[in-house]
Amino acid sequence: MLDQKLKWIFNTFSGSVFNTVISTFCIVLLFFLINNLLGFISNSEWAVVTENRRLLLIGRMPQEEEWRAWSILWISSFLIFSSLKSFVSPSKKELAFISLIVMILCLIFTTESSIFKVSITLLISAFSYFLTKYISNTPIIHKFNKFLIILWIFLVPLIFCLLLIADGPKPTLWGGFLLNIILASVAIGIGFPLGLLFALGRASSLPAIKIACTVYIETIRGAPLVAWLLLAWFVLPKFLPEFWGLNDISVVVRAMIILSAFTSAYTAEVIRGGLQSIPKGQIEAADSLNLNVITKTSIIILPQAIRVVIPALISTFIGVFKDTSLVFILALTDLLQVGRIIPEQDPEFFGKALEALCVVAFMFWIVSIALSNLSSRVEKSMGIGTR
Amino acid sequence: MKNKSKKQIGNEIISTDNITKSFGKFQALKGITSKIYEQEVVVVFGPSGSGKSTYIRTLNRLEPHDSGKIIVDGVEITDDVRNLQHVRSNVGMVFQQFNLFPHLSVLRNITLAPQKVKGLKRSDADEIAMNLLKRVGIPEQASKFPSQLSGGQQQRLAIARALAMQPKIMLFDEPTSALDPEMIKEVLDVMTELAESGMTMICVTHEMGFAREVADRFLFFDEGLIVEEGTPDHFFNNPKEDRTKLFLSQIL
Amino acid sequence: MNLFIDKLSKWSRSQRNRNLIYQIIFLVFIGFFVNYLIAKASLLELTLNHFNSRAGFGISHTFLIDYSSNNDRWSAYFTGVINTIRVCLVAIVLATLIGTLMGVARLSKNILFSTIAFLYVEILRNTPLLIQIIFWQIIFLKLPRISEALTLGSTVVISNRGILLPSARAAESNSSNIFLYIILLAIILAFGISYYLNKKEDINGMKLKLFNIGLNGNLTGTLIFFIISVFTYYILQKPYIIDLPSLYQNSKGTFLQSGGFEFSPEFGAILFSLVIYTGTFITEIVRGSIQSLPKGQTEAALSLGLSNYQTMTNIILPQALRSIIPPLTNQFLNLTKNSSLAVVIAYPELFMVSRTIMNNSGRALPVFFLILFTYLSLSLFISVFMNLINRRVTRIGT
Repeated sequence: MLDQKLKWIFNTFSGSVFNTVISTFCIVLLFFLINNLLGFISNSEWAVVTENRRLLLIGRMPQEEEWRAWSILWISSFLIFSSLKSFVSPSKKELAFISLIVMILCLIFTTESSIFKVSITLLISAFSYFLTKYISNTPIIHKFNKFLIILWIFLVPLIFCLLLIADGPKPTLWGGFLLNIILASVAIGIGFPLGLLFALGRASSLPAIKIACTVYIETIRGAPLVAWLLLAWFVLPKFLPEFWGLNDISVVVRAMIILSAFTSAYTAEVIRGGLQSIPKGQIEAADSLNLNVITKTSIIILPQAIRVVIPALISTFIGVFKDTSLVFILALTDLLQVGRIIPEQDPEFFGKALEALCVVAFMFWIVSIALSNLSSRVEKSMGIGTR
Repeated sequence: MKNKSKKQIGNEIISTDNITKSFGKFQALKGITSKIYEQEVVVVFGPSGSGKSTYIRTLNRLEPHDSGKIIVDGVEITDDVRNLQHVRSNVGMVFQQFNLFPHLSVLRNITLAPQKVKGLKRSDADEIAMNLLKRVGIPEQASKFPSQLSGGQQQRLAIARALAMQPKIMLFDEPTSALDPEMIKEVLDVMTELAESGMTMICVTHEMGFAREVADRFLFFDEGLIVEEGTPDHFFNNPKEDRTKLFLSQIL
Repeated sequence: MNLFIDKLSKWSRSQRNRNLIYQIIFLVFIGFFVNYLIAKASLLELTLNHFNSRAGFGISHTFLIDYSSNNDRWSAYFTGVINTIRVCLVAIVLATLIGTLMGVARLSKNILFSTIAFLYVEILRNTPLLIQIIFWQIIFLKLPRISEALTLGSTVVISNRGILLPSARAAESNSSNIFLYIILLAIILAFGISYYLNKKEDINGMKLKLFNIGLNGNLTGTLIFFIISVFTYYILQKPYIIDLPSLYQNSKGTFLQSGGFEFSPEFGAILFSLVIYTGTFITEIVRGSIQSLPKGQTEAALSLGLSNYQTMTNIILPQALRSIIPPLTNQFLNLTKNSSLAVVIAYPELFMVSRTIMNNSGRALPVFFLILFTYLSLSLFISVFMNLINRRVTRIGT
């Protein structure tokens, strides 16, 4: 063991002059970065984050409505930690890492008034994890897994219900991290099936449909997202019909529409790649079995196409989540906007921009890294299992 | 059966002393001690996973061995880069998957290393290459690209490429296993001619007919150890070990 | 009547005719939709005439065009486009360099090097670009104030107003033109010599050894170019004057800076963030590409005696390039569109300028079409250029 470690170190510094130079440079760089990072963490005051945690997490919702956010959080933790054990089965190292992140989050966001509710969250998370672990060897597990999947599918509508029933706060008050999550979920939830349709359309042999879909996809991909969002601000209301008061919809819904359209175009491209990778023999076999178009597409072609591009799809979805921060241009206060505005407008927190930005970055980073780890797991499990 | 008694076996050119090699928890070589002599043709065979490929790959350090000593042409194989250059320029290798360079022409595949490593000039390298192409029987393919050749032609090209560096020893790692049956013979013919010209060869192969004709010595590997070694006669007529008998009965 | 139905059903059983019917139905629906859109659109002002009127706003970064708030909006728009091209061009080059370096680093046996590259990708790829832009803006603002600006021996001035670097401007004499011509000649000469040397090496073998790496044609060519440049620079008595940035106080005691090439905080922020963010994606592309090559290629090259460097340059990189270029093009297109995020730190690239125009004139749709058209053109230009490179690289053979 020690022998191997020594070999490592030797490898790093020996070999050639070039190697030694690079290693020295790396050490200096690492030292410089870590020094600055530690100095920053210990010297800065994190009050800007702790005082404003509600704004950061859920925007400008009034305090009485907080219960909605808490219920969403509890349901989500249950769902996340049960699924974690059931579908992902993390290793000890990964579990430790996850616990570390949870601890950091608690440290950042817990205040005296919310200790009770935070502890409930932790209890629910631990409970769901261990409950799943306990029943994972019994026959109940299959029904439980089905229940989890159904809950995932209905999570977004459920969130909407929780936010809107009993005269909930208007969407313009939604903000913070919650807004990013909602926007991303809606964009993916609508964009993915739409993208599927457009991908099939573009791959179609009927020229009219093919051209229409291609025009749609290329036009949307031709302009940056901020431009499209701006279009939503200025122009979309004018294009919507007047009945049902549709041309007066709130900005949040407009953002959702544009984000969904945007996601559908990029998803369509990814799925198109998958469609192209299917060997011709598959289609020939399906045709020789006289399967009709719908069966052929939904049972033979799509499952194979999507399976191949799952990593690219998840990567696109991560991109969508990151892009939700662009709604600042519609004057929506998502997590990043809150983090920017507080140090600028609240005199108490002038000059604390970097601290706020750090926490904001950290929260985006957690979601992205979780999803991308999921993606590599899926890749690995498929790689071993496929032909 | 050829009259091999006329063949001169020279001095010791490769010696391995108790080499071991593990891949993670799996120990591929558990202590291999062997000696190979100049102009000898040695055939290594055994069940899959027995360590035969690993063994010959340690001889040109494509796999670094964990412990033990390997001496090739008087030079010990270690981490030292200069030793490595010396060893690799004297040992040529032919792979199961050919590993030809797809973006270079047939001729360039052969002339690249002599020009870049030995510093030959273009005309000399081309001449050597054409002679080798004639020797392996595909001189007319010189300006084509590997993907345009058949499997058997590709492997013959791979052999020519390795020979261009004028090695003292040639290693063959299951050279015909990836070929269609009708192309195996053309490759084996080239290898036979090579053996007759006096090249020191170590071949991992399942082609027992070829082995019987050409080999001077067999090494039977099983589970990371040399179970039995001897002349082809010895193996085919009275193998000693049970495992050897079992394996031979399965493949013959 | 029966005959008619018979004929109709026979006709409709043909797959071609069915396809025709499906398409017609589809086109009818699309037609309704498009008609609706056009009806709504005609209620809006659709021309770009208002672009001819006075802009009425200033732009902080102007380059090549002399712009003031009295110019028309077309002027403003073009200034924005030029700013976009400036930042995108520099960012693409730098991002590719960093991405390639880090991609090779990821695969290096040096653990420090590969870990740093790993951390670089994992941390900075998952942080939204917007956050990185704002981060760099904050960093730039934290630089010392102009009165306490850093001057590294009077060659650079670093403050929160930006970075000034030394630059050169032509002296009055004609010799600056001659200098340019001679440089051109030197470049051609250098290419010629390195080509000649490489050919010689090929034909005669690598007999001339300089530091054991052969008479490297490229190295010699570069050296020749350098020597000629420096030589003529002094012969012509310095046709270019080095403009060193300086820091001084005017009569009122305010600190001013002048001279040199200005690197504003906004430009710096958007440049750094674009380069670093896009660099992470390019790193993964390069790494994936090199890893996707069969291991046997390296093994074959090494067992022929080629060194690591020779293996990399002759075998690995030429083959890796083929699978790098298409996704690389995609990243360049993403970078170009991401430059629009500069709106958040007020770097006046084309999107920000358009937004100001939209706000001032109240007419969004035609401006939006213009934006769409501009970005599509930029994307097309990049795609075509990269396609040419792609064709050259995938031409079988070196």
